[in-house]
Amino acid sequence: MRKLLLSTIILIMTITSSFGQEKTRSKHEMFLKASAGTSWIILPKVFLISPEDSVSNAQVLPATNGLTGNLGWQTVFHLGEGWLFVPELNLSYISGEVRINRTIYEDNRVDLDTAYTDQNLQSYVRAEIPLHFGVRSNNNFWVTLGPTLYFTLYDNQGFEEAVENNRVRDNVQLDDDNPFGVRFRLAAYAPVGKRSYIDIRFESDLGQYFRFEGNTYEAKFSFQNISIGYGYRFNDK
Amino acid sequence: MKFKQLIILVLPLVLLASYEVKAQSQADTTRKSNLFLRGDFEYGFILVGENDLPPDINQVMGGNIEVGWQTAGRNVYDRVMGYPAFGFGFLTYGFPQTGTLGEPLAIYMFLNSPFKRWERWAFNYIIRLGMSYNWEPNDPVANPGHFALGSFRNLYIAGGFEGQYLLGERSSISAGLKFTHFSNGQSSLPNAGMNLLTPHIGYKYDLNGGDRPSFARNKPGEYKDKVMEYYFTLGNGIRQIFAKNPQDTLYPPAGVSYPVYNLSVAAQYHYTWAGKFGGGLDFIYWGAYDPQFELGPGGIVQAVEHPFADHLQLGVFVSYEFVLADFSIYAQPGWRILRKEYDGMPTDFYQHLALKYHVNDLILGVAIRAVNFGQAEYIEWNIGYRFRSKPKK
Repeated sequence: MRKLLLSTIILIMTITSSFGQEKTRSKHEMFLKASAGTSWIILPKVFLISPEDSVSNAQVLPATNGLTGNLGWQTVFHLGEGWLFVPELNLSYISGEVRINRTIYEDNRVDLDTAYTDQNLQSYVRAEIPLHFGVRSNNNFWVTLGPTLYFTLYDNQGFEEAVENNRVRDNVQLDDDNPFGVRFRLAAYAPVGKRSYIDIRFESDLGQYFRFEGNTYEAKFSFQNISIGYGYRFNDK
Repeated sequence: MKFKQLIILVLPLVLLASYEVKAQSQADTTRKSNLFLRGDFEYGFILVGENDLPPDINQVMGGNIEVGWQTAGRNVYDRVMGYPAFGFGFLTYGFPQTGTLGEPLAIYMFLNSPFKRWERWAFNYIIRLGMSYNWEPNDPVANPGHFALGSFRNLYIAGGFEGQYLLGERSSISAGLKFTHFSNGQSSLPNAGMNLLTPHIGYKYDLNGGDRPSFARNKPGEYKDKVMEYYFTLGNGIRQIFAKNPQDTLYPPAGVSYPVYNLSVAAQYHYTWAGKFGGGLDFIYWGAYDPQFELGPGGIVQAVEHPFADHLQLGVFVSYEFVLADFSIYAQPGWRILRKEYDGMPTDFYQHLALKYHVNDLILGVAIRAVNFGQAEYIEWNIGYRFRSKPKK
């Protein structure tokens, strides 16, 4: 996975530097940037029924919001007629809570005396490579959108811990590793003074599933977030 | 709570930055818009079906802070709209009779515009749209006390009216009534929705030193840039449907999520400052076709899969768009003219109410797609692009 991350970064840096050289006659801007916000997990409510008695069941569902933040470098290439190409390299933290309910149904209702629930924070530290395009408006603010490649550097195993606390079958495995993937971002930027901006953004991981294959439950969460950021331009136009 | 503190700290920075941008863009005009701060308190009633909330829970109270701009005639739409005020707000609601609903917070955009304005009095209408969070949704184990909402985050929509009186040069007081709706658009069940009816009182402080716009009543000139506009949008949403009992087993209802995708293409005639009229086609991928469920491997309740073609639908719609400079609100009643039928399917006639923003010709939008004039099918987020013909000289 590290080789994949390294080769992707080298490829992206090569592409963007050659792009930058070609565009040195036009303007490009380089920013240091940081953002913070709230994040949450998206996963369809997964409902599991015990094949033994058909009244014992478990639900896996997203719960309360967590926090997110990132720090990184951004280059804005001006393509002409207001269009922009905006690659970045970021280090990010993202989190959200996931809940597991265990219930037994008695007389068509949940037996609350035997029901219990466990809720844990699932968090990741990621390296991110956004490759976005944008449009600068007539009012001088700009909007960017596009894909972000991410690579997981640290996983706190919060979901696995919650599952272990509620485990009823020892003969099945859980695989919720999410080493790399793609996100989508939509962001709006408002310039502040001559060298900096404030941005607000929505981001979402693409793809989510919960399935059973080869005696293993395979789970992939989708994280979403809304963040507010600040960028400072450190080169002259 | 941490996020609440974060928002309170950061939001004013964003708002002031945005104001600076706006002010810069107006440097060539005669005057700046008035920046103002406003706070409201409201106390009212919950309007929810008796099966969705215990009957003794019916009160709500809340408050909001807003940063806004009083338009001053920068562009013709200020005059078309009667010099509205708009901006961003942050609100909180509490339910004094229960903790089972949580303490929702919301970030929203607002538009306050006058039905009628006098020297010191104004009779305004209010529109708000935003996103709320910090709800305690229904949960069969952790929170079985209500069936109003099934998600931590819900769309926030409010509308109302108020009387406003100018005290001195900088301060205004107001009193009015708002109807509020929280919903997740069937993306997470249950979703009976939360409706509130709340009288409010408010105080507004003008930061521009009492230098009020003249609110000149001269009508905008004839709209001369009458053009045809062609656009497309790509939309996506989630529709959740309660799982039926697949094998007569007993278990709590579980919502199963289905994706919905939509490609809309349309042609519209921009015929007045504020109006466009036209029509188009919706190419729909309806993931919730014939939603049946089965017990899959590992005891997972899962949707029965259908051939790809069964999910495809074609709709035709007429469109009216209300233009407010770069913002638009549009309504598109439509009819599904091609689709594969199934038991329990939504009606052929559907409604599409949307808000969109143009960045040059790029379109960013959010919409509610519904049937029966109020039964949400899903919330759609969309992105698109428009092409405009050149006006005749």
